[in-house]
Amino acid sequence: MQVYFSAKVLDAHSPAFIMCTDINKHAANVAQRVSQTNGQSLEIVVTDLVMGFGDQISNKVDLLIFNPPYVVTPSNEVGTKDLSAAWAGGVDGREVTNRLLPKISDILAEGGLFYLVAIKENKIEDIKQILNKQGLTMTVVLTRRSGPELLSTLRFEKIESRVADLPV
Amino acid sequence: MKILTHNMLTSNIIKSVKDGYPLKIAATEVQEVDVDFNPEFIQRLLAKLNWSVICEAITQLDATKDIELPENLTDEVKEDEDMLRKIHHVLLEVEVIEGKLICPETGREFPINKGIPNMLLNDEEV
Repeated sequence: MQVYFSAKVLDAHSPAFIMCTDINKHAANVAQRVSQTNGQSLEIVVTDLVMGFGDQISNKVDLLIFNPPYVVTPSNEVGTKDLSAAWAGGVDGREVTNRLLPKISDILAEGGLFYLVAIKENKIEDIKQILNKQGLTMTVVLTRRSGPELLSTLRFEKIESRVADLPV
Repeated sequence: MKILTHNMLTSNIIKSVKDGYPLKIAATEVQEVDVDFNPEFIQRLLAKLNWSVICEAITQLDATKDIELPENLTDEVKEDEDMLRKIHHVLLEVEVIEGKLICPETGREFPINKGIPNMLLNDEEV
């Protein structure tokens, strides 16, 4: 649902090519039906994160949005292709997110943005450190409580590389 | 699956595969849709894709095999509105609804159902 909504918002401003992935084919089919019912076209691929997208997306993506399974669960609940894949995040709710984080800098174009949903338990400061090391700066866009969850939307931006001061 | 999407997909995710790009396309159902044409958008897209793979992909679909595309994307081509319209059509308006993508190295098939390719691997392939 949120994929379709993002697509509608983006497309209203200027044309964009939007691609979505989901590990669960039923979720993918539903996303496609929602968008088609509302006159929007979405390209969807059933896959695990970005697996199957090769070098062709290196440094090409202007906007990457990830709503991961962020709930803290036992590790053995992670990695299924059924409904629990929608929420089961394992240790610190980070086991799935951790697999995408190392790829962010490679995927994003210069000036590209990465939006990530996280809860307090996901150790946001740690996520920030990991992406800082790849040259990405973090802004907390929004924080909101929803039931037992304290949710934040995090935005990461690929910063321009700076020429280091040369020693005299 | 649009031809633009196919441009990004590879089977190099399979354990021993090195030459998994581009995937071959075998379509049993294709649909053509209308998408608004924006020439500047197409020009920007051209910088992000593998053009020779686009040219190869269109030969594999009945809906596009008779379309002539230039071998090279010269500045002249990129400024030619009629050419951009043709490119727009090929990239965004032709969708494989049913069929498969095939690894060029192993022949492993990735199904496309309802326009959605499934790239998930079995445990042994990872």
